[in-house]
Amino acid sequence: MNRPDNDALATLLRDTLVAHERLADPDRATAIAVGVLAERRRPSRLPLVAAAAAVVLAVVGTSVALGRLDDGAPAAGPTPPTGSSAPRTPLASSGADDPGVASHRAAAAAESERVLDLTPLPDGAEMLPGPPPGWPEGVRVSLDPSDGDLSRTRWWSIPGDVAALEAFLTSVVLPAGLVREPGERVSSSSGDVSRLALDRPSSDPEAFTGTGLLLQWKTLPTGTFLQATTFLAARGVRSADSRVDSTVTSVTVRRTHTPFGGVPFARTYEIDDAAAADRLVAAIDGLEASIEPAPVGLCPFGPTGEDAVTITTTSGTWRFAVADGCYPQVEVSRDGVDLPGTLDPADLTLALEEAVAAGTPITGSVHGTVVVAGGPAPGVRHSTGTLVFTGPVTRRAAVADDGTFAAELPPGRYEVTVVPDGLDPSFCPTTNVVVSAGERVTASPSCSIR
Amino acid sequence: MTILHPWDGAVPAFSTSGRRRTATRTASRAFYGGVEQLSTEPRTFADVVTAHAPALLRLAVLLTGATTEGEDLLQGTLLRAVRHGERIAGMAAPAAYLRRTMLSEHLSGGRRSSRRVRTAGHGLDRVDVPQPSPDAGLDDRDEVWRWLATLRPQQRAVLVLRFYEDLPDAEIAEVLSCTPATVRSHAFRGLAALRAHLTDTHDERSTP
Repeated sequence: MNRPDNDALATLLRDTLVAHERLADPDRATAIAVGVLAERRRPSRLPLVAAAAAVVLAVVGTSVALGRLDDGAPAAGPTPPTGSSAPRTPLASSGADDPGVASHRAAAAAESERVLDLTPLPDGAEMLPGPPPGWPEGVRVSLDPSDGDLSRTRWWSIPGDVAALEAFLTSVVLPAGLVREPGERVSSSSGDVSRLALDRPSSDPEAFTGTGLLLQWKTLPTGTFLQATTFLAARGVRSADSRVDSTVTSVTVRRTHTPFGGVPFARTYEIDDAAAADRLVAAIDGLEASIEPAPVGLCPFGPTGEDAVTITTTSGTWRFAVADGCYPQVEVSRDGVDLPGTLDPADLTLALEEAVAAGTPITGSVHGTVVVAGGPAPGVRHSTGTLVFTGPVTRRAAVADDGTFAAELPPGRYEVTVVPDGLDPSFCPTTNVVVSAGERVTASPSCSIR
Repeated sequence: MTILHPWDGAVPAFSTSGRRRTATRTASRAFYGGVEQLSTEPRTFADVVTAHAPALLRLAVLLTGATTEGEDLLQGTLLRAVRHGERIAGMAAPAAYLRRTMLSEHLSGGRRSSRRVRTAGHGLDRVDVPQPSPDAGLDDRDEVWRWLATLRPQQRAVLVLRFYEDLPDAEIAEVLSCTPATVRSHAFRGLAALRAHLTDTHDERSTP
């Protein structure tokens, strides 16, 4: 084939993207929007238990990964784990030996059975001892968070065809305790298995997450069949030391962001709005322990940032840090000492966003690129090294291989000195930069080899 | 209340005609440009969300490559935005803000995401990517769509913003928090990789 030029490729890309717009159903978009808005209308300051349930509901809906059963693993009946993103190995974390964790796991297993009993079934459905002949095996779908050892699966033979079952699932009044996620609907696909995911908020948020109930159905030569599988995970035990137990005197949030292809930069906010600070502290206090064992999965993205909340009280200082990632967890330290275990961030981010929006930035950031010119080598080059900012405070920042740098500084005027690696610093004249709170300014220090 | 959203109201139903594409591009520009605020009457976050949801879902699906994940990305984006609803509603360009939020949500790996059920492979899964029929000719667009799925999210985002949204590199750089040079680099490398991929694919097909 002739090698297409860039214009032809651009046209082909455009055509491809436009052609696949049809995958986006505008009615679904509206339904999702309506669902989110309905969620928003719930009271913002829920009682603790209800808030925790809401948190867990959000967690139930949190990311999912594919799990593949080990070859030869039974896919049927009471033998539970049907595809899970959780590790397939036995619980190996140190928390497994903790009586508290064991108790949580037992409670979670009982909950899994209870939720399976809630599966909505049309009249005439008959439970099967295992999967019907011809039921697809191989790649499985799971809902996170999930622990394969806690999943339970059942199959039923359903009278009527798939259309009748879907009509039933669309119109059925769900048993008390089961809810549809905003925007969730019966999904039918041509020939393959269709599915519907339901949620049950946790009845004991401290012990286990909410439960996802995944319904999948398909017509086989011998009839129409429905499979129901539960997904949930047990939690660890939150240490008492991780709770803020005295009068709060200040709250700050340090937000670090790593731009795509750039160096990280940070900004610190003082949450001087008392109500916003209280809400953030309450949100942190309401977090549950992370699930046990910690999920392991393929993480397609690297970390891109971290939020760290520092809460100073009359008795000490707590730091709660959560980094972006597939399975983020809140790491806690008290008075500089890391505490064991982590917390589940759930929707902490929402409280953080609210606090930051109400807070006052107390630092700004400087970023830029150090350029080296002159000397025997042609063109403009970069140099690694260190930048020294001298002003209200003195700070140092490393210069990356591509010459880029970033620094977080209190407001003020700074003299910027370049200390390049392998180059006489006298080639690099000092420059000045003015940093304002909440602003991100660019500096362009350079070195000219004479 | 009169809020005109040309990308929703004026865009015809999907077709592969050039008119459709032109309409899309015009609509996209409206998202980022200054024509978004067409009414001086107050509007609510609900107005903003319901009006922009279809266009946001289109972008989400193209960013993620799948209906299900696109819907989850939209939901995660709106959940993230909902706490600042009234502030967003008061913005001059709320759709642009929502799109930046979506990009951030997408590229941050869904830390704030809601349910995400991944489908892939066969058997139990619904596959959103069109699969070529064995007895039908392979459309280059199918091949390109499959190739897009192999890209890193950032690189795919650059191509979607550049070739679907028609954004200039500077705006893409701002949305993705990177430099215009990085955008150009991704676009250049992306086209080169696509060229090589298509050439290989065609060569394979023409090999008896």
